[in-house]
This record gives sequence, C-alpha cells and structure tokens, in this order.
Amino acid sequence: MELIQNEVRVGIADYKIAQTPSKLITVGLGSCIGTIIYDEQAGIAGLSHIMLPDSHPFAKKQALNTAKFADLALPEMVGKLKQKAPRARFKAKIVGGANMFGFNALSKTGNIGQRNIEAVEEMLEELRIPLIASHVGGNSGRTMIVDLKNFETMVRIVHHDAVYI
Amino acid sequence: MAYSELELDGLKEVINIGGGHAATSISKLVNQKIDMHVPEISILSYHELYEQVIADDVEVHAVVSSIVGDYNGMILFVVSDDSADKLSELMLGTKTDDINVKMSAVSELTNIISNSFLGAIGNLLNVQLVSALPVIQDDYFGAVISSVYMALDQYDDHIMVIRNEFTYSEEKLDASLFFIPETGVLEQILKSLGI
Repeated sequence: MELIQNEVRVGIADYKIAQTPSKLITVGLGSCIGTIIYDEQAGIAGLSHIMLPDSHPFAKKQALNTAKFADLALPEMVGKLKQKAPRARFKAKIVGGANMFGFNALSKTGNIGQRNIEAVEEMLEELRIPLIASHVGGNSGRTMIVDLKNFETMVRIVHHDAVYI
Repeated sequence: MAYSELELDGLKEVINIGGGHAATSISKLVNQKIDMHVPEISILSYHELYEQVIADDVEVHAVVSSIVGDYNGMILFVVSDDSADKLSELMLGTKTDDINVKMSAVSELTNIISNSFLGAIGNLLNVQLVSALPVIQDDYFGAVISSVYMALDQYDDHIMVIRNEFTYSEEKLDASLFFIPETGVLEQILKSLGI
C-alpha cells in the first residue's frame, strides 16, 4: 500500500519517468516545452522539459545533453517508457512554448517558443503518439502538474486561475 | 566560456562601477541610502542558479530592457513582490495597493537603474550604451531567465550570471539586476580594458 503520493520534479533540459499515484511536475516553462507521454493501462508516464527544437546545429559539440532537444529527448524518453511498458498505447499533452516579453522581434533566430511547439508536434507525429491536448503559445510562463492517476494536467500561469487539460 | 581570474576581476570591476552608479541613482530618486553588494559574476548551470540565487518557481516582477548602442544585450531587473512594495512606497512616498501604479513605479525605476548602469559602463569603456524602454511582466523566475538567455541565442546549460544585489538600510532588498550581453560582448569589454 502506497500512502505517500510523491511528486517528481523535472528540471530544465531533463526528463523523468514515474508511475501512478505519483505526480510529475515541471515549473517555469517559458519558451521551453513540457511534454507528458502517458500510458493509461500501466499508469506510467514520462515528462520532458526541452529547451530547443533541434540538436543538429550543436552536433559538433561534445557531450550533448540529449534531454535538452526535442529531436533527441522525446525518442529517448519513449524508448525508456517502452522498456517499462512494452504494450503501451501512449498519448501526449504539451505545455509551454511562450514568447516571453514579445521577444521574437529581438532575436535573430525568431520565436523559439513557436519553433519548439512545431518541433515537438512533429516529433510526436513521427513517434505516432497522438497529441490529445495542449496549452501553448502566448507570452506567459507556465508550470505543469500531471496527476498520473488520471492524466489530469494542471497548468498554472501567474495571476490566472489554474487550467486543467 | 572560460575566463581567467584576471579577466573575471576586470569584468567584476566594470560591473561594480555600473552597479554603484545604479545604486546612487536609486538613492537619489527615493532620497534614501540604497547600497549594492559586490557584484556576482559566475558561470552557473540553471540548476545551480535556481538553487543559489532565486528558485525557478518563485513569482517575480521581471523588467527587461534591451541594450542598444555599441554593444547589444539585455538588462533584467528582478524584484520580489515585497520589495516592489517597498520600492514603490519609497518612490511615491506612500503605500499603494494599485498593482498598475506599483508596476509602473518599478518599471520607471528599472529605466533609471539600467540607464545609469549602462551610462557608467559606457563612460568607462568609451562606448555609447543606452537601454530601450522596459517591458514588465509578472512571471515565474525560471520562465523569465531561461527565455531571456535563449532570446539572446545563449543556449548552453551553463550561463554567465552577472548580477548586482541591492540593500536598503542594512535590509536586503530582493532586487537583482542581471546584465546579459550578447555573445562576444564580454570579450570586447575585456579588450577595451586591455586585459
């Protein structure tokens, strides 16, 4: 019998896997994206907090942190989830990808939040994981808390009521 | 991103001068003595930054101004709600519950701080630096700081944190001024210093 409901916190450029009845949490998503991938049957999920869409421009650097990039983090996390739940039927929700302070006018590389959203959506399609809900864009930071008992995902924004997706 | 002790000392001195002028200009504005700590310059991972400086889930008032002129980058002023109360009270001479009044006071304060900070550094290095009109937003510190660095194309997990902290009559003000130059600017500053 599990009495303690633990909360598993995922930092920036990281991902973690947890099982019901835990909660997976990541805080302070600005242009970053939190992707939760969940299998209802096993009550298992992975939550990734990526910073950037594409690892290719950084490929020459040694010791690349795979959890930082949408194109590397998601396949890697799904691989690990599959080891634990081989017959899983995954579903995904994504949160984040904001354009904080209306920055896109300033950056040479355009709106990173938007590029992150597109990259994560493409990756999920490639992995054939249906994206069933998202709370993305805008210009506010977000915190997400996912209850692995029922996949309920709470999104918090400063000065706003919590939204459930 | 590796700097020698000498280079870091040189940068620290530049930031110290900028921060000192900023503290003086706030003091004049509020007619109270506001002091500044020795600036902090360190290369930190986001994890260390959230552990040592401000946690990622803390709600802050964040004011960003772009730096325009010979060097580009951003100035970020981060202040807790309590300190925003205190600062706006000092500025207005009276307490206010009006969030808009408080935000505009903090925004104006940032404008003054960043321009005196940049003016002092510019004088020292003989370059022209001014800050654009500030944009204020209430948000989670983690969302703010990571997005600011990434907007300046600094994608590393480790970031160069250059920060001044202010105090008011021995009391710590939860107010930090981050100087976030574009890539290459610190090298230019070091070159101007002849280091």
